[in-house]
Amino acid sequence: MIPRSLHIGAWLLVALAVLAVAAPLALPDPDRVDYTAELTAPGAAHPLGTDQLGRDLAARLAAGARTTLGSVGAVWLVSVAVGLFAGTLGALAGRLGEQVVARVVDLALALPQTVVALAIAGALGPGLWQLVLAMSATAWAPTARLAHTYVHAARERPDVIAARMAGIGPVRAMCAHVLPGAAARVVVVATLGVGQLILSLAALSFLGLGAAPPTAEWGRMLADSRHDVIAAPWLIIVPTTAIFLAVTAVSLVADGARERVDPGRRAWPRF
Amino acid sequence: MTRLVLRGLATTVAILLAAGALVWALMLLAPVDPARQILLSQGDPAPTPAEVDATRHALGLDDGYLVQYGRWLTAAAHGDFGISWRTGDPVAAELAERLPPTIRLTLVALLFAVVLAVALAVPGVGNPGGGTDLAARGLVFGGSAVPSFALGVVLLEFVVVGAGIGRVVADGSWSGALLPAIPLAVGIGAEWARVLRGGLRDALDAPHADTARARGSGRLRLLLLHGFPHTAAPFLTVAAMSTGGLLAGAAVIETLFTWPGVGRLLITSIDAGDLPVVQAIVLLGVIAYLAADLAARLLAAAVDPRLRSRTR
Repeated sequence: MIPRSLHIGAWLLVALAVLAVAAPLALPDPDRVDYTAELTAPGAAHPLGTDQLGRDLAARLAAGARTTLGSVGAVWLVSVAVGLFAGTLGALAGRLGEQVVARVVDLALALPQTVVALAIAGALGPGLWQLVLAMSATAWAPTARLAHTYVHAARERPDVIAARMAGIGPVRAMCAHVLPGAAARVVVVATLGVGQLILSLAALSFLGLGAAPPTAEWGRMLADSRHDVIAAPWLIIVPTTAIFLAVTAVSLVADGARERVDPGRRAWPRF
Repeated sequence: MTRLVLRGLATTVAILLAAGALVWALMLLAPVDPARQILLSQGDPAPTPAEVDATRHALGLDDGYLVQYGRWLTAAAHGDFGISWRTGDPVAAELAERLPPTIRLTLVALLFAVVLAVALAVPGVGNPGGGTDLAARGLVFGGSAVPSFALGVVLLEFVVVGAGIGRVVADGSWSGALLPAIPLAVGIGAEWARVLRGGLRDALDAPHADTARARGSGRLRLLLLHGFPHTAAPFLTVAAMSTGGLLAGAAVIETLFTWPGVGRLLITSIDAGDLPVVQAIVLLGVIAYLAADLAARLLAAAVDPRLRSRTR
């Protein structure tokens, strides 16, 4: 049975993906400035209203979905790939390699994630790719730790020992018998952290460390129009709701998926 | 217990040394030339290559990386983080001026977060699945998905500017910290409430709690003597972990409320490419985080005897 939270979260996520991919095709140019339509309330011409430069908010929201969710997706991908790679490498590389990987993971886990992201973004300077890089720098650590623990424990598992005794080499045994289980857990743990990633990315963009204007990004949109929110409350309601829904969707999916992969256990690492 | 303290201290110092190397290495990542930046900050509008070379040599920036790191670390351990590329002043002096307001803000936020966590976790715990419990869980879920900067904008634009409560330009005082501390505390308080609720439910569902109930202990006694001590260890771990989030969140909230603290200085310095200040603040943040983590681990061991006996 698919848990209900997974169901709701997955549909929300699909809706957001459609918004990100398809909506920009139907909506006007998100960067087109129109001084005759400044701060227009939501209506027929502009379904979600316009901002202080008369740009269509619905179009900017959809374009922002691409920026925000795209960069978060990139960080997620890095944390899954690097985590899985580092975890299995540590287990395959023998005692010394294992120790090295474990200590590096210890270090990455011991550092405050967002502070490190701020530091790297500070050294590299503002920019979307710099921000993705800065956030990826520590995002892989929890997944690597989990993959490492799982792979390490799997070496003692009866089915893996049987496979090794049947003459299957260590690499093939790893790929065929251990990796599928490890991958499922790594994906879930990486997804559990995505809600926090969305909030961090939006916050750092809000501070001006992300995409340069006029690129639409949810956190940045709110930062740019924050002085007009009393006159035009939709300028704060729309991006905040989008962030809220994205975080909610991902949390629901992650919780549901965790329940599927490993029923009954509550103590999972969170970012 | 002494062994535990010593082990914890040794681990923390080892991590701090490695983290120090990473913070120092930020200098290598930066797309600018430190020697040139220092000359610019000292008021030289267009340094010649010869001047840049001379400065680089004078500051020892042409030595090996290991020598440079050793020198930077020794100076940092003495509280000397070099001079700011933006203002030309010593970094330590700027930090000393900015630190008290940030400490005030974070302490008030921590207080709010504790109150929020207890207020959300405790009322519903006696009756899981009941109305109070469901409402509290909904609030926790919502509170952890709302971006703090959006709450900050609401408070600043609608309460301060719109309704005229509080001051627009923050002065860094205790009373001024009340409003900015709210958005800072919401996300953390929600996270803590989740952990507290889970821990309390586990403790109150356990057989020993049934025994205590059967022997006639009241709800308050049950909560204080049998509930809270059991949640202490996981709660302290999460509390220490949120120090990191608090420091980064302080950067957002301080910038928004123009709070004269370290967080805003960090963002200003990042914008200006002022790396020595960024390095100093990040190192300070890492130290605060590691100290909180160590304190939490030792406190948890003091409360929970199981953590004391399990020395690997």
